[in-house]
Amino acid sequence: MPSLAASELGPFAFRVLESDGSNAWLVLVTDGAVDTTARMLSDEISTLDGQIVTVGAVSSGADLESFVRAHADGIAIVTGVNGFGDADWHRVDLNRTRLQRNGTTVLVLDPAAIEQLENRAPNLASWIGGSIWRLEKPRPLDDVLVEQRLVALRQWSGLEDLEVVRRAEAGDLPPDPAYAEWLTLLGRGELLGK
Amino acid sequence: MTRRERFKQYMTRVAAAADPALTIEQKLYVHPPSAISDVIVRHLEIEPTSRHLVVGSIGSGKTTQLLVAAQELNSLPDIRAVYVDVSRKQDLVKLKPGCLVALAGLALLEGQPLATSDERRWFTKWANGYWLHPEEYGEPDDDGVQVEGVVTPPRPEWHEISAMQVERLARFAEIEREAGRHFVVLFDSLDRTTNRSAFTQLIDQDVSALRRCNIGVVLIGPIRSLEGFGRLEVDRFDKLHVQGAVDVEQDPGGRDFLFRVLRARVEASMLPDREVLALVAASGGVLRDLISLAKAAGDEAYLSGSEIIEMSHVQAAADAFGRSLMIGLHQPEIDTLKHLRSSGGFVWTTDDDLALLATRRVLEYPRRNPPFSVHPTIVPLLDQKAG
Amino acid sequence: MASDRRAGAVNALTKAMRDLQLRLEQNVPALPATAVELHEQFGRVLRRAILDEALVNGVYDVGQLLRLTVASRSGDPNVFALTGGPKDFGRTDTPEHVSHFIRDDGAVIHFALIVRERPGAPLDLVVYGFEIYFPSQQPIAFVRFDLNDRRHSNDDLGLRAHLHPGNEDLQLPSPLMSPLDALNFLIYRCRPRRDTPRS
Repeated sequence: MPSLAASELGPFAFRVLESDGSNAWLVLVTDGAVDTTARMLSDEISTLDGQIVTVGAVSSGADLESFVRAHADGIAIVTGVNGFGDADWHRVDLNRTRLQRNGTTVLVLDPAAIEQLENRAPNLASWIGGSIWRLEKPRPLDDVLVEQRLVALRQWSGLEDLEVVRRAEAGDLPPDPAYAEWLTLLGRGELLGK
Repeated sequence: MTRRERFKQYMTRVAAAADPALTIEQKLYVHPPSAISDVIVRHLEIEPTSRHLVVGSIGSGKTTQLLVAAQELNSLPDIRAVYVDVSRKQDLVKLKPGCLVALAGLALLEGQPLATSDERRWFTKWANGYWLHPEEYGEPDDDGVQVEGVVTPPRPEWHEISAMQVERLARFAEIEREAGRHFVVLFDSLDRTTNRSAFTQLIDQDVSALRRCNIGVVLIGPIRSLEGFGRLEVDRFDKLHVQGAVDVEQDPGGRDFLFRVLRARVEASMLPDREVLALVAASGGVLRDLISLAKAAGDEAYLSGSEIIEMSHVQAAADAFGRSLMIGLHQPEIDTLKHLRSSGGFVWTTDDDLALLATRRVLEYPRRNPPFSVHPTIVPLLDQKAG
Repeated sequence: MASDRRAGAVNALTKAMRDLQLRLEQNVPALPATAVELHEQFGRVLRRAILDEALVNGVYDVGQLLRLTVASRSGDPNVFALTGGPKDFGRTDTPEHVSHFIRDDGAVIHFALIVRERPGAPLDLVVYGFEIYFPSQQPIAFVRFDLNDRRHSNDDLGLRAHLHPGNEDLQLPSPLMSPLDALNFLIYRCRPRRDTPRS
């Protein structure tokens, strides 16, 4: 089974912001703490655009309907659907029209719950379409990028790695921040400040 | 206009889950060839008390066709049509006979400028009380004493619906006809029903009762109405209309229609023709999926920093869409889809098969032989493992 | 003797510059406690700039260009490098948004900083380099704000934090900037005065 499309939190927040309009539904799937993710997403959106975001937890299909009635406008982030049973999904799907909102709704849930949604709530799934994303962490500075930076540093200075390390050990390294970065990328961070 | 403003505008015009009424209001609606709304209106024009069942896959545009039909019917001088979304008022989990009669009556009374009458008041009280606790609500207390006659009349088909209220509704409809208009009601959202017996009872009793009242009925029903036991429901109606996916592969007219649907919402300077055609192909002919894919492609373009939507964005959107459709599929279902992909063979016999149809993993093109096909966005993913 | 007088003048200057440096380091806003938090804050600034259209990049470019080293990279598990864009000594005159942060006026921004996590304290700023360059060479070839390693001899000249006004060999004293302030400054300010609204 192919995995879900992945998104970092920042681009996902953009998707939420740019979707804001008539009854857009997005889903963010996370293995981590759903409430924390919802809060982080809310913070990200508020920081980006100054919009007030409603964050709510629901415990049942009826609860979701109540939440929608109470918050018909704007961006809403909803957690708690992890706990939905078959009856909740069934209800939510049958009464899908009652979930219609004027703004964007984001469901934050775990992988098991999204399977339930797709299989038990096909009408709601149709509203969501392909807007289902697995939350991924930002990519670190990987080996390829590290090497690109080291190549640039060598070309710029005319020095080789070993010479830089030797000079750092002797306390002779020039003052440019580039050399501190060089040591860090070589894994010789313990020489910083020597 | 800034880049952000251009994409914002684009997003408002490709809101896939927006109220279909908005699409019509914003003049984004494109009339399909052989629209079922045209067929329904033509029939009701001649037989305003006829009963029509509409079935079709999720996202195929059924609601929009009902809204268009209601609009067209209301342009006729001798018909008053009302669109009713059953689920707005009635919890579909608790479907019971009488709810369509009640809804029809409330809709009818809304448009009748009668002086307040007891009849009207009692019907409204009955209908409104219905939603709160239908299982408890008995006859209102205006009925007086019933005297049992010598001849026992046959039990009406709507035996679980108050006969008195049905008669009241019949009188309201008669008043409407005397004013020169036949009343037609178009019921939406019952296609989501999975409770076969509840739906069958509704059809048996409510549709019959509405027939008694000489009220025309158009009703969107569940796709299972077409199969097996469900055929009994079809027989309660005068006409069956199937709103399926558009055959974008084999029907050039259908392909052109969907092209125009997108072109009505966005110019070529933002979404070129080649990309529109790619979106049409990826949608499998399902209207809502087409709009959803178009929006997703727009997202990709905006997030990539692009000024226009390019093929790479369409492909990314289609890939994400296909992955979402693959969620929750188990190996037997994947095997079924692979078999369909390679041989065209799909026999709709089990609930699992029906689920594949209901969830759009399998699409049906009635005029094609064989009629079934795997959703295009899933096809390239069927052989992939996780990760 | 003249050499004694010069030595005296240099010593006085050294003291004055050291005092200047101490003043320039005052009241710098505290950094967050972890490199990950700093990375998140940088991401928000950049994404906000994209929304404001001060940067012409797409949001995906932020994830591609803004990177943090993993804890094991540096050899000291508390030391991290946060980089924005490539190590761009060449200062290309044809930058692309997929590989560079590009401002709405065509200027290119890139940066790198090294931070050290400390238990129970905000991040320690080890070094930074924030540069903006103008492929058109107007109004200047580049401006770079540098923060040197604490130990260095330049520290004695009060130039640990300094800026390069379009010349690698020329250094001017600079306040020690909070990295976020430096980034915001390069994105929204550091523009020809005729284009910058007068407050």
